[in-house]
Amino acid sequence: MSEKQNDFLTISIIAVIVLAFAVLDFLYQMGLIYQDPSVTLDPQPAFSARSFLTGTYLEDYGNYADSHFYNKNKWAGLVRETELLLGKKEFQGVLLGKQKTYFEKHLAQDVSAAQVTESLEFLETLTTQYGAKVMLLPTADEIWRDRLPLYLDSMNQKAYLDQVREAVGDEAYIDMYSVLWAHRAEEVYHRTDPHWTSLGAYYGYQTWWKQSGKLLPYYYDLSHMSVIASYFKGTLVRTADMEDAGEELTVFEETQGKLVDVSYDGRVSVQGYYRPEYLDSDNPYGYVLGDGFGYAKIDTGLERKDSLVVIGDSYANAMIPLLAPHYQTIYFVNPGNYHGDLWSLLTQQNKSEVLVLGSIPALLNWFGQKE
Amino acid sequence: MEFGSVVFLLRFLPMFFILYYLVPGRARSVVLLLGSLCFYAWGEPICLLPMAFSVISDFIHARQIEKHRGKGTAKILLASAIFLDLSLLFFFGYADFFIETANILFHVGWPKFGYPLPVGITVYTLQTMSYVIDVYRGKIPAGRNLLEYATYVTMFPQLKVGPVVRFQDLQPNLKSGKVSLHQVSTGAKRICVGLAKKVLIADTCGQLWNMVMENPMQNISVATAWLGIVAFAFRIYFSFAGYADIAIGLGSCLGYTLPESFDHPYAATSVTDFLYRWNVTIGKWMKEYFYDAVTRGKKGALGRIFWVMITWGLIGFWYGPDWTFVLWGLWMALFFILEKLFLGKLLEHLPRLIGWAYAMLVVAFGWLLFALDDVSDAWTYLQSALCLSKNAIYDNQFLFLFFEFLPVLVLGAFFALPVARSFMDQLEKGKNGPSIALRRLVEKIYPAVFLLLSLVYLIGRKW
Repeated sequence: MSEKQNDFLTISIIAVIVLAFAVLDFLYQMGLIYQDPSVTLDPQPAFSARSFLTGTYLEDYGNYADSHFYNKNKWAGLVRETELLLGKKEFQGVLLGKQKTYFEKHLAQDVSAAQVTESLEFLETLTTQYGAKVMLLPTADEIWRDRLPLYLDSMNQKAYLDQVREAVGDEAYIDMYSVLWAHRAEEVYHRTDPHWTSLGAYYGYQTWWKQSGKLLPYYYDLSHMSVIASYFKGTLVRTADMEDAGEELTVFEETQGKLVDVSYDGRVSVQGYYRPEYLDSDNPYGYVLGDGFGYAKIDTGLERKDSLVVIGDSYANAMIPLLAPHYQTIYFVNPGNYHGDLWSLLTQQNKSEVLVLGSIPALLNWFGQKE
Repeated sequence: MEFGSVVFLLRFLPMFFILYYLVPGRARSVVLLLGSLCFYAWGEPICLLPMAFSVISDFIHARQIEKHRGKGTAKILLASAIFLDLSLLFFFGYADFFIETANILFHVGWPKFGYPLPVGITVYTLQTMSYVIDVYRGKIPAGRNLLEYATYVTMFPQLKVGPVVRFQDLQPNLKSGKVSLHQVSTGAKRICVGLAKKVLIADTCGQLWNMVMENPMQNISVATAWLGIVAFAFRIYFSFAGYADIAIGLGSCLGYTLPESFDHPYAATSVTDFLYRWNVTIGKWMKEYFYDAVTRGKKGALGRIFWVMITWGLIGFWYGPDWTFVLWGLWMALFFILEKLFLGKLLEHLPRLIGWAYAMLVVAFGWLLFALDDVSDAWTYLQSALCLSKNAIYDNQFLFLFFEFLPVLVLGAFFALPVARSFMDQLEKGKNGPSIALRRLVEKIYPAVFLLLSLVYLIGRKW
């Protein structure tokens, strides 16, 4: 082969690769090749003389072109598989652990001393002034430490819980760490989602019941728990954009004779705990009680003397249906989204019991700024 | 328009090259000019105005300088051209920075202009200035063809980060538009290498650097701090060198030979050696058009040291409107001067490995000035790196990040040191049949693999 032929061959190989991608891109943009119906394309950026002159149109168009390529997900899959092959364990901030378990990253350095101090003061105030019970939940990376990627320095939630116990006292403290640790061989957490499962919530309910001194026996037992989806893909696997067969989503049936009334942020009212529309959304865990609200009032319609204020995060969603039979009304406040004054609400509901029910990272995130 | 984007690689480039090769040689500079204007306008079309002003102003100035050569008017015209060029650069690139500095220093509340920095202004300003200066010095005649000159100034391959080229180096091809098959082949391979450097190595190392920086600097272990420095060093080198490779490759595909900008700077065994390997065309430009001009006729060592410091301070400033960039330039100049005074002689008597370690330490500390917002941050980081913060020597975070990014670190080291080039040199030495066949095979495989991987990463990556 002469040098000319050699050069020609080199150019041809490179040109064929570029042109193949370019043609694919062109045909896809023109809608001339198959488009996955499950993928919704964003509208192309709107053109205007102003947006053109200021460059925003061209910038948006460039971003649009970058993010809309034929079978984008397949290419992303190829990148992901390559990275997995190279031993990568973190994808878009989500950690891939052993047994195909996905974890949110909660690093020790993400928590400041100020956050710890402020949160302890908050819990102390709640317990001393409002008689609150504190039921803080370690996340999966604490209980399933053995499944974490090698060398990951996850936050020591046990040490924080010890401080909480000391601050609020044994009376107010509900020890969920020991319970979840004892059941760590079971699926107490979702493998693909940052939350606990209904089974985990059930153990939580049992523990709460034992310590609350409620006369009413368990309303629910495990026979009331049923599988409503076998393809549950939680937010972690979705964020990491990993291929995963999914897992089972179990919930406790709504068997109290009538559906509860739930009003969100004083605006929207719906009946029942469950929102089937969430199953195919980006947050399928929202199947129970939805998401994004700061305040929910759950009217069980039961004739009970008691009401309950739950201060917590989305972890509480899975346990509220289990708590409901004991109360006429449950007020669920998520301080992360709540724009009202929590202390005024507690003063208004001064006859209610108060339960702090949430994950440790969420609780810490309500306070202070990272150092 | 970014070199590493779908719009550039899969839309602009194929269309541009098809058109470029279809038109006859003499018309190619028109296609190149139009393509460059499209490329340039992509960021902000309004930024074409300062470029157009610069082109026309310097073209006219050069013609007038030539007309008045040898007279005092020529000097005034030269000063006028340089003043206008620098005013544009100052106004668009540095005015807000000086206003901000004044606001901090004098507690005044001067409003900023808020104009965006036009892409390539730092490169084309140097090119237009070198053109009028060369015309003034009588090195080249003033161009007669505005189209040729505009094509030279706006030429898109090197517009982003260089290399800075002189008019006389490109002019012959601006006229003929000739391009050989070998130039296209060599250029295409170079583009693939540059793309891989930018997309596969620089961007991934940037991700590692960001992950290190997610932690409070004062708390990171010594090993994590050094991992961060290596990540940043790879990120900055492979970003610049990747862009330069793409620029040189594109230039070659267009029929132009652009000068080399980077020559494995992390293989340097002294700071001087590093500076002769790092962004060479900028250093050369500053020496030829600034340092030599201001030190002409001056013999005092102290004066020369002063102007070396000023020159490197300006080179630092060229990278961006921030005092930390200036400090980077001064930091490098300090060791450059020390080596000229005595350190260089000492290094010659020491093993090369010691020289390399010393140079890399100086460079690494310099990069902290580049990477961080201010000197106090750089000092805090340095304290962690030098174990002055009394943090752990290494920790799980270091091990996690190290193994998470090990493949790219190995790849980075492979390309940062002249390993790949030595391998190719060995292949090229072989004159027998199997050696030639192997070289040709390797020459086909590596660009294709780099290109494919880069395209897949560009399209499929999520971060």
